Amino acid sequence: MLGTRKNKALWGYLFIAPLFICVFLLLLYPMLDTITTAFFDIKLVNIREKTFVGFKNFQTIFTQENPNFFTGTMRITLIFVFFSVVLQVGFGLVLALLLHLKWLKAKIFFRNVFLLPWVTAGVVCGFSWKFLFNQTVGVLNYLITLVGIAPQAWLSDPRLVLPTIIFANIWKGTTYSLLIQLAGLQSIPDELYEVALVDGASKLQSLRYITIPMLVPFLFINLVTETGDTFHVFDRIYAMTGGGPLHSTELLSIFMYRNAFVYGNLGVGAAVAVFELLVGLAFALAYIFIFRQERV
Amino acid sequence: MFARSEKFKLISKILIYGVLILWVIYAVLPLYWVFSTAFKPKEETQAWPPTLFPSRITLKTFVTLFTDSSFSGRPFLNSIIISLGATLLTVFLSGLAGYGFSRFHFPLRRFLLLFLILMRLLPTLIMIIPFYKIFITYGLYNTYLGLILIHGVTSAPFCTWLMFGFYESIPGELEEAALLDGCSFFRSLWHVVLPLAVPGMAAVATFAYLRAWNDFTNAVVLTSSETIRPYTVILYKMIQERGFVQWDLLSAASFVAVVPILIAFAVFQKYFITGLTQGALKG
Repeated sequence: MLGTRKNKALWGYLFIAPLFICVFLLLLYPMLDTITTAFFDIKLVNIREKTFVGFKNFQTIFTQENPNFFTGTMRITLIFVFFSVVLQVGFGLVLALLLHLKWLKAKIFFRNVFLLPWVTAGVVCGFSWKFLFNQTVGVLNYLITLVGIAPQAWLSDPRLVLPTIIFANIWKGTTYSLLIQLAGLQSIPDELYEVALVDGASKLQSLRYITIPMLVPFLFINLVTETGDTFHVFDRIYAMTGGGPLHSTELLSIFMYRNAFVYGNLGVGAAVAVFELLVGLAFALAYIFIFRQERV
Repeated sequence: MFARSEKFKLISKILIYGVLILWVIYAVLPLYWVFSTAFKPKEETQAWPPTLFPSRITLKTFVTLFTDSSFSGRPFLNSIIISLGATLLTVFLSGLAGYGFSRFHFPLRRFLLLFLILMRLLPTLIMIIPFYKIFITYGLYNTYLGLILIHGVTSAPFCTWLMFGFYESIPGELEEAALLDGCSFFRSLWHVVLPLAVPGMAAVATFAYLRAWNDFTNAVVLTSSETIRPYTVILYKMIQERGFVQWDLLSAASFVAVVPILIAFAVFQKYFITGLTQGALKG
């Protein structure tokens, strides 16, 4: 009954149809709608009323003061993304290399414990760290007083808060890197190392000339996904600081949320979302460019 | 030469275990702190210095949480309804589509598979404003159905890749043999393919459930009443909107939120980890 070629193709489409209908309605259409909304003045309270305003929403964002968009929001976001991604991929790589060691005992235990933060909800993650960093009841302040350092206002001191949220953020983000890098390490055939050993290569040399080059594609995927994901981190930071104190942790994602759903200005919010999408895209293209160059 | 000495080996082993144990402490400390606070008597949760172990274990905070707070059991019930609904939807959509991609060859097949990767890379945060508009317009705002649709569909592209990879590992000869034996197409699907696909579906279900259970962003924007809102939103409100943070109640709520999912994850993870990394790498 499925004999003819045409018939078979028809069945294929039938099987994928429910998925694609849903994806078109609830992913592709909203994506495109974000872009059109960015050019309209639409308020949260009455979404039926909209007027075309051209690039005015983008102008509103870019000329924003207190904090200034470029020296405030964007600077914070880029610092946050840069350190989060570098540390997540770096720690993920180191932990994966260690977990891949042949003689290591309790591998499953370590891996399962490292998965804990990843399974934890963003809001719970935000709360847990807020608790630990709390000025009066937090355990971190207690620990540092033991070694003679004065208690710090981790989440309300504008100078400390950015490193603090990065520290909490990589807690959740590193696991994914670890899993990707571990899969990468497991994909390298053992024979390569054996050959290197026969040729008299040291452990460091086989790390440098076999492991790292073979991991490059995995590092690439890891960097692209982690950068994208980190640009859109929202719930854990929002639960921890709400963007404060004084906008000092207001990442692009929180800025978007505030404009759209606190100030009720959906058009401006959509413009931030489009900008966010473009920055993410620019990074992805930059990575592709850099990794292409490396390979040649 | 130095590298081969026994002493150097021992020191590097100790260092390596040391690094791993440091990361264990980092990974566990926040959760341990929250969980142990949930079992401490109320006075102790505010005490200075903080105590590493509860001086005595009490379930009083849990009783207060479920009987005498803005929390009650309702938010968890809402989360369970939404997450189960989303899981069913994702398993249905990706189970069918993965099979279609694996067993039938049709024009645009490769293009559509790549298109799904692109959809997976799209952050849902970018689409939250249109979601809101759609929900208001079509009466989905503040309903279980709305959140089920959003979570179910946003998980589906990645899960389709998981299922696709899984079906590819099941030989097609089995179904062909069943068809030759006079079994109808749908019977062969139901009796031959479906039982074999169960582990793949378990992986997909774990992923979809976890995503829906942990979601805050969609829920806070797309719902407004306490009768619908999942636990994440209520938890957030308790963290932010009270002048005085109730660490004990929040800790108990976090415990209830995380522990069941940890157990479920421990049970299903063997299906899940390989699938996840495979899917991520193909993607």
